[in-house]
Amino acid sequence: MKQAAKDIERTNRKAPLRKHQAMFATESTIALVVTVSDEVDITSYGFSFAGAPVPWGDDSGNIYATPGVKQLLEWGMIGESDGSMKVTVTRDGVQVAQRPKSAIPTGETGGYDAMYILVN
Amino acid sequence: MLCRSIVVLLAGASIPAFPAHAQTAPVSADSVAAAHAALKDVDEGLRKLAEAQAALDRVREDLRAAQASAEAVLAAQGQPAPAAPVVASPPSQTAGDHTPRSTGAAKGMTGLPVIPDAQGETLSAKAKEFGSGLAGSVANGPNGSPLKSTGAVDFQLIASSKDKVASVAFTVNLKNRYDGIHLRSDQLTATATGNLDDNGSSQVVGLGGFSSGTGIKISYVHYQTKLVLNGTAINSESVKAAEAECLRELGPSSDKCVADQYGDGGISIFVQKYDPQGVRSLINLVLPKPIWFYGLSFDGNQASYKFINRAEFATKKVDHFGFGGTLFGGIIANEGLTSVIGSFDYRRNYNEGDQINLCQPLEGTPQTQCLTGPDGAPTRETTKIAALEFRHAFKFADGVPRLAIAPKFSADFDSKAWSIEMPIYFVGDGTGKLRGGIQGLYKNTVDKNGQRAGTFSAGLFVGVPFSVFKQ
Repeated sequence: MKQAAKDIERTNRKAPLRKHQAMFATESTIALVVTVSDEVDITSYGFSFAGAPVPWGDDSGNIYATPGVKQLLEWGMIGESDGSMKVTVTRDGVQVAQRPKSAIPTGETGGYDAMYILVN
Repeated sequence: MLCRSIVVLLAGASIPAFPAHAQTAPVSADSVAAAHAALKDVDEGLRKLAEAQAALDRVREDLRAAQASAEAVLAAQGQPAPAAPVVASPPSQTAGDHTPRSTGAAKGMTGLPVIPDAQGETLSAKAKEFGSGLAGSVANGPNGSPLKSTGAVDFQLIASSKDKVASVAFTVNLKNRYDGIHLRSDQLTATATGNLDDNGSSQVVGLGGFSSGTGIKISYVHYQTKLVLNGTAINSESVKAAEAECLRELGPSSDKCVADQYGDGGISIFVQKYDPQGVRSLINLVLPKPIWFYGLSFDGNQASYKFINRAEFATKKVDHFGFGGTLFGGIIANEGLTSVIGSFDYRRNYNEGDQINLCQPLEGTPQTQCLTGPDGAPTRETTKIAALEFRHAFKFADGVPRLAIAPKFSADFDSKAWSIEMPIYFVGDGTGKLRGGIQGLYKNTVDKNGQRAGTFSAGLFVGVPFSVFKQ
């Protein structure tokens, strides 16, 4: 956790650069695809990567990760109590990270989830 | 006059226009199995309804016998007996062949005894009142409701002893947009409804055009709320407290206590598991504002109407196209399960005449032949109805909702009628969803003489789970 906190701190310090890198492809970034599937009772959701909103297509969005840097992919969901979805991050079709089930807590209409992405 | 009647609706058997009984499932292997089970329930319910129908028939026979006895007594006392009405069997009702509600006003025709429908309060008629525009909605509305969202194909079957109505709904997410401040979503839902024939097949649009008894609805909904994703939630006190509690429970060396690695539901589920009190503050960090929504829907339906032509002493049939539109909007609270929705509905439909039995003597015999059905051709009717609905689920100590209410007030501007519905959910399905309960309905209308009359009904319902997103 301490390491994670340090990573967050480092990301926040370099936020302007990271945000730019997360949204646009540069020579020093790696393109990744975030895909949502297996939606059950999810009305809508939004993603953010390294502090920048992820532009979204039908069921996927592109993010650009900095090699060797642990960056935070987080998302919020609205929908039915106990609604859930699957989140997969791929690089050239190969899975990099996955949340098999990201769910809205019982008795709530919204949920939050996040995971760190590290690519080399 | 305040009439009280209790309508007990059988679990698993559905009544037309009372979609609380609908069985809903996305199409998958599980849902197909569930659909089979639901169909079994429906069959069982149909069987029970048939038994109830037979019981009603027996009561009717007893009434006939009592009527004959009374007439015999009157005859013995030398008093003239009233014209002997012949009570017909309760009318059938299908989505395409609508049976009107009896107003109780007899319409006579010279030489022919005419009585109003003696079974004005049959289950089907009562169910139609529950599902009519004014009394509106249902304990929980599936494909017929304005606010509708389904990620997968949503198949529903509503059945009664006479009808089998199937509907299929599909929602397309036009766009999920998150700009760093607001989460916006637009959805388009298409719903097709059709009568199933005896073979279980249905046709929405045939070679001859829009098939009778079918309807198509298109609805658009826009959702908007504030979404904060800036890295603070994952480092919040709630997450830290949940991780600490996890380590306390599983041991300090456990590697299963990292919230962002919790595969069985993610961070908010992790917090709910290990620090239930903290889940609210966590969600408030991410979704600090309520969810607003608004939308509109349009629908059209083709229906066949049977009616009695008095002059020809014959039953006729005519097809009409009806249409309607609904504007709606509301708010879903960001805490717990609470929503408020307001709607305005404009509709042009066709209204059948009062149900009558029309009898005439058979020439050369002492017997009579009778026709049962609506009196005259259907008349065009326009309705404008405003409604306000509140939904709330009460959570208990474990955070699971075990009681929910969904009161709804509706007002019909043209007929100056209004109604209040109060579904109360308290029956769970074992998966945390509330699927059943009781519903009370009070309806206040103005009769033909300008007098106000109130009716109260209550019924049991089982079906689609309580929801704040699917009204």
